[in-house]
This record gives sequence, C-alpha cells and structure tokens, in this order.
Amino acid sequence: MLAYAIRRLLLLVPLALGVIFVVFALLQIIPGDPASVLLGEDASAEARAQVRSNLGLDRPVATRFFAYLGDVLRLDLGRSIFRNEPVTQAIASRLGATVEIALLAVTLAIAIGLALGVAAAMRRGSLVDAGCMVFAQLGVSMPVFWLGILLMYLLAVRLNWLPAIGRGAPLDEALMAAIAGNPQVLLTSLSHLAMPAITLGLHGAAILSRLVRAALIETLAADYVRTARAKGVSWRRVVLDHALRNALLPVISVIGLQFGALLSGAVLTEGIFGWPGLGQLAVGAISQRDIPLVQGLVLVFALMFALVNLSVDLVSALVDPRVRLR
Amino acid sequence: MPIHLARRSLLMTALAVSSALTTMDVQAQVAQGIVRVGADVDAQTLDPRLMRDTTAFRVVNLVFSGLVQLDANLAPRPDLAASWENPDPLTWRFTLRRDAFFHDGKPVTAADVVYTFETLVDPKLNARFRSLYTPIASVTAEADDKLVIKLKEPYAPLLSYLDVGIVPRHIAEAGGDLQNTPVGSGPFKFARWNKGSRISLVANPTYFGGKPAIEGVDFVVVPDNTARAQAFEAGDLDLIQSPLSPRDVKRLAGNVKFAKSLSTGIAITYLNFNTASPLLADPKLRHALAMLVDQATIVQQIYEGTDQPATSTLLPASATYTADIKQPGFDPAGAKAALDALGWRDTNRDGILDKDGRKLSVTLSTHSEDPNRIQSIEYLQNVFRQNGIEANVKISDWPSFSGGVQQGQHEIALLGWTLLVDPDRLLYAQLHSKGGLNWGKYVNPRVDTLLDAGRSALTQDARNLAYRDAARIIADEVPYYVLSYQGYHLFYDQRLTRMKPDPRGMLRSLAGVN
Repeated sequence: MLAYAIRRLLLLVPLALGVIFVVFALLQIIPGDPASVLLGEDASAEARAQVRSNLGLDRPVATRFFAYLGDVLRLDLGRSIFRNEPVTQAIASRLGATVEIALLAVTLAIAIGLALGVAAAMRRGSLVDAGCMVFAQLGVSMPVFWLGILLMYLLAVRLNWLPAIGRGAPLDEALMAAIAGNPQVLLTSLSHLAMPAITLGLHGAAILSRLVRAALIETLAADYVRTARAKGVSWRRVVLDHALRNALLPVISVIGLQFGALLSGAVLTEGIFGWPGLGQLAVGAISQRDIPLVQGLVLVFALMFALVNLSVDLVSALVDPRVRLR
Repeated sequence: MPIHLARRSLLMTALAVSSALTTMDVQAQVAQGIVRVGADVDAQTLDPRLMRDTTAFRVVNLVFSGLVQLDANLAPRPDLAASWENPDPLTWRFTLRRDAFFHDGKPVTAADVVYTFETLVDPKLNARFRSLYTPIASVTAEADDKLVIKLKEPYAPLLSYLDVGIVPRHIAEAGGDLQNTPVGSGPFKFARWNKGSRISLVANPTYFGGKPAIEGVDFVVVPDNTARAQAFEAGDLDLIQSPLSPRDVKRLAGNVKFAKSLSTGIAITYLNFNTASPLLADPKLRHALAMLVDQATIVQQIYEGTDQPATSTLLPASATYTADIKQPGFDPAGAKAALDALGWRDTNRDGILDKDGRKLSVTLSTHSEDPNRIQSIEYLQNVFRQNGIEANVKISDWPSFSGGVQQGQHEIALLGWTLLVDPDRLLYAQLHSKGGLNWGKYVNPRVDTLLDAGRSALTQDARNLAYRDAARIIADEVPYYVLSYQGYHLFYDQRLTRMKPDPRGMLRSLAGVN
C-alpha cells in the first residue's frame, strides 16, 4: 500500500506539468488582457501597451512559459497582478477558510446522508422512505444560492439566531482558545460557520442519501444477507455490519468528489455569506485576467483534487479488502 | 428517545448561546461606535494612486486627505490645501495647512504632494487614472506649505481631480507597502485588512478636522447583492449602498425602520455607437436607430425604476446639467419614416429592411456580468427586429467585451461609465476627436471646439454654455445614447444621524468632520 501511495504521489508531477501547460495555453487563447482591466475605461492604447510591457506580457509566449515553469519548480507562483501580493500568499490566506467549510460541509453531508439513506433503505416503501426521498429530491433540485438566501432570511433576518455574514476566528485558533478555557471564541466561529456549512452540506446530503439508499437496497437483496438472517443475526446488525460496509464503496467515491469540489471553493455560497474562501478569489482572478493567480489557483485545485482521489482509493482499500491497489 | 431529546436540547442550547453571543457582539459594536459598511467587492489595493474599485475609493477617502475634497455637489473644498489662486490659466498656487499630520506623526508637506503627483503620472506606476493628470507640466514645492502646479494647457477640471490622496513620501521611498498598509492623513487610520472579508479603520484622534464622532469603520465584503441587503436587515451591517438589486431597493425603501437616500449618482448606462462602422457613420441613421430605443421600458421594467431615464450626456448631479437638451425619444413610426427617407425599405418582403441589395443589420453587444444589461440588449434586439432591422446580439465577459470596444470592434455597445465628477471627464475623452478613449471614432469639428472651450474656460458659466452646446449636438447626432443616470441608493441605521448622502458613495459625513 505504501509503495502504491508513493507511486501515485510521483504521478502528481506529470499531472502538474500538464495542468500548467493547459492553463497557460487557455489563458493565451481567451480574449481580454489584464492591462485593460488594470487601467479601466480611462486607458489609452499607449498606456495599455506600457502596462503590458511592465508586466512582461509582451515577451514571446514560449519565453514566458519556460520562465513560469522555472519559477514553479522553485515553488514561486509569481505575483498577483491585481492584489500586490505573492500568489502563494493570496492562496494561503484563503485556504484555511475553504478547508474548514469543506470539512464541516462534508461531515454534515455524510452524517445526514448516511442516516437518511440507511433509514430509507431499511424501511423501503414506508412513510420514512418517502419522507427521506422528498428531502433528497428537494436538496438536489434546490439551487445552492437560493437555499443560502432562504436560510439567511429565516435564521438571521427573522429569528436572529445566527450572524448573517462573515467569519469568526479560524477554527484551529478557536479550538485552541476553547481548550485554553475560552469557549466563546469557538461558539462565535461555529455560529458563523453554521449557515454556509448547512447550505453546502444539505446539498451533499441529498445526493449521498439517494446513493446510500440505492446501494443498500441492492446489497440487502444479496444472498449473503439472507444467509446471515437465516443464521439468526439481527436485522439491525445485518444492515449495519454486513450490508452497509459493502454498500459504502460507491458512496466513498462520491464523498471524495464532493470534498474535492468543495476544496476548489464554493463560489455562490461564499458570495452570499461573505466567506473569504478560494472560490471568490478564483472568480475575481478569472474575470480580471489575473494570469499568475489563475494559474496558481488551478494548479493548487488540481493537486488538492488528486490528493483527495488518492485518499479515496486508500480508504476504499481499507474498507473493502477485496480492493487491490495496483 | 431520551437520547434524542437530550441531543435536541443540546442543539437548542448551542443555538441560544450563539444567538445570545451575536446579540452581544452587535450591542458591543454599536456601543463602541464602529460602523459596519457593506461592500460588494474587496479592495485590490489601498494606495490612492493605484486604487481601482469602489471599495478602495471609499476606504481611501477616509484614510487619506487630498489637496481638496469634493462636497456633496461635487464642488472642490479645501482639505490639505488651505487656499489656492489661479493667477493665469496655466498656473495654480496652493497654500497648505500646517496642522496636517500623517498617521505616523510626520507632518504633511509640499514635498509629499510633489512626490504623489510625480509618481502618479509616471507610466511605470500603472496608475489607472494617470490620463486625468497628464495636462500637468510640473508640480513644484516652493516652501513646506507652498506649492505651484504648472499646466501644459488650460485645464478647467483640474481642481475636481485634486482630491487624490496625498501619500507620505518618507514611507513610500523607504519601500513601505502603502497598497496593503496605507498611511494617510485623513480622519481614520488603517487598522487591519482580512483579505476577502473585512477592512477595519479606527478614528484618528489627532485629525486636523477634529476627532471623528465614531470609533471606527469596518468595510465588510458580501459579494451577493441580496445577501448584503439581508445582512443589513438582520442587523449585521449598519449601512449599505449601490450596487443593490432593484427588488431589494424597493423592499428596503418600504421599511420605515431604515434611513434612506434614493438619488441619481455620477454614473451612466449608455449605448456607444461606433461611427467608424460604414453603416453607423451616418448621423441620420444613428438618429433613426436611437428612435427605436425604448428607454422608458428598459428603465421602468428592467431596472424597476431604480435608475432615472437620461436626457443627455450631462448629469443631473453636475452644475452643467439642464433638462432642455433631449435625445431622440421612442418613436417606431418616426424611425420607420426616417429609415425610409434614407432608402431603407423591405423590397424583398422578408421582414428586414434593405438597400442596394444589402440587409439592414447591426450587432448589439454587452458584457455577461450584469443581468440587467443582458436583458436590456435582448429587449432592444426584439424591438429592432419588430421594426425590420436584423439585430445580432453578442455577449461576452467583461475583459473580452471591453477589449473589443476599446479597439473599436463593436457596432452598438451597451456599457457604463462612472465617477463623472466633471463633464470634461466623459465628453473630452470619448467624444473629442483627440480624446484618448474615443472608441466610437466620433469626429465633429464643432464639438471639438466646444469641448476645448469647456476645458479652458475660466468661469463656470462659460463652461456650462460650451458643454450644453456640445451636448445638444451629441444628442442630435447620437454617437452616444445615454440610457439612464444610474441610481445611487443608500440605506443606513437611523442612529447614524450625521450621515449625509454623497453621490460618489463617500462616507466622510459619518465621522461628523469636514
């Protein structure tokens, strides 16, 4: 397993090279240039040419590509054109906010999705099943931005239970403070996290619950389940110990996909709750043609996604010994 | 079951505690006098010479002082400059006040002003508003509090642009990072910047205009317009302002709990006609097409009445404004007659007008970020088609769209123009044959003469006359059709009694200082 993990990690290198090349090429092809955005409506053609030259954008494409590649190898992702800070710093300053919301949302999605999916599968055709699947249908079909605005209206505007916007102290700091005997910091952080995490988590939970239900119903129809029941094992134990474990494999892959997607930022949810994550940073960078920042973000997103995929494969092997890692 | 109940009560306790905490937060903040202002974007840089976005303008206005400040009528008032004189059209002499200090305690001197303007016009700095200052020949310090600005040519709008924040030379030259940790001489000091989330300012107790009446200002970034409005309703923000979605403006305006100001700002939404295109080169054809612009429907239905239908290129917020000048009104029958007189008739009965075997076909373009602009363009396309004009719509994201317009690749483009503190800003740059931003390649010698006169006239009356005559010709020849004067909407907590609306969205009045 260790050799497998190392091999997969080494494969990240060609992946990164491919990503760098594709993103670089795409940014050459799309129209619009950062000099126009930087100078705004007031810029003359000469001023734009001057800025392009200041930014080094007038050099040949190949020169720029290899210069960038060299910088990346030295772990230097360049400077953001618009933010006057290194790309690594811009990404690092948002990464924590994105990771904590992604972790919390996925945890919520797993908890709710598994509970509803198992409940629905165990009482297939009952009112419980129908109720769970109505929830799932709603969750899947309701757009995230709409759910976010509704939650905010209910929990912040009407009931005033939760703060509408913003972020408290970073979760790791808040946890340390709580351990040191100051739980208020943690409560404030969690109260800010709650709505965006619920918004994203409910959507994930809806997808997972349908998947868990379908997979579990299929496994419950398997011969070994009937055998186990015939041996006198309780229904509850059959479901939780025998069937669920087998049903989990496809679910784990989807959890991995969801987590990977959340790590590349939740653009709409961040926009609604004023959450300083990577999604808004990426959208801003693209709409301004902030070339170094877009390149850096896509590279980081790709690497994070690859690492999540690797973890999914390793976890699958742990859950199911039949999975062979090659 | 007992387990479930216990869990539920735990959850309720957690919610109750957290809501109690939030309420405490809010009360604490009001008591501390920190005003939380909603912002639609995070600032990119807080250096006054480099700033680009509205959030930066508003933050920088509180942190920095300029030679002048513009008042709510956009008239220049003394700020760092105690007084000035204009002995001849090419010379401006300023006397600085001696009690102004940067936030690090160093006095503001003429050398700082010289440094600010010298770097501002240096092409290497990439300053966005550099072109506004290029008529300046030199800025010279004659004493610590005496300053002379020499111009290359008479430039009447100069004073309106001298509100740019003066940066501390000693910090800038020592390599200080003014973009991320600005140091100015304004009523508020920069405190913290949580990128993407919050910019915090605290009151400057030694401000030369007096200690601000509030403890600080927090700019809180909430990109989604509706969410920002809701956060204001929930009490998480004390003040929000345009851009807001029309629906939220209507809802908030109906709520007596909030103080409000609904007015026109200093921005326009307009159609740019490319006069270099063979079809649109003829002013008569442009006039006929303008008669198909259903301005009332666009402003009342699409913008839900939150903007004001425009009458000309002059803004109501400006002293030059007059309601007498009128652009062509919506008149499909008149347009049909005018097109017919120009030889455009539907000879082959395909529903599209033609002339010499060529169809009457135009491309309408705008950018994809603004749903109201997309709707407006699609509605225009419909009206054009109903009246026998083949209208193609081209919508792309802002960098692609604006790049195309700047290179004159458009036919009719729908876009906006902001910060029009002086008529010269829009008219000279876009409609003078020598204007640096004349993307539609409009040339009219009479308009050139009038715009030159407006730029060099010494009295406001003379300027008004020149700009009104120019605007009258432009309204008739339509290189530019101004759809609307963009609304400026402001909602705030009633306890902020000092707040006086400013068409640019500036917030100095919050502090109760000059």
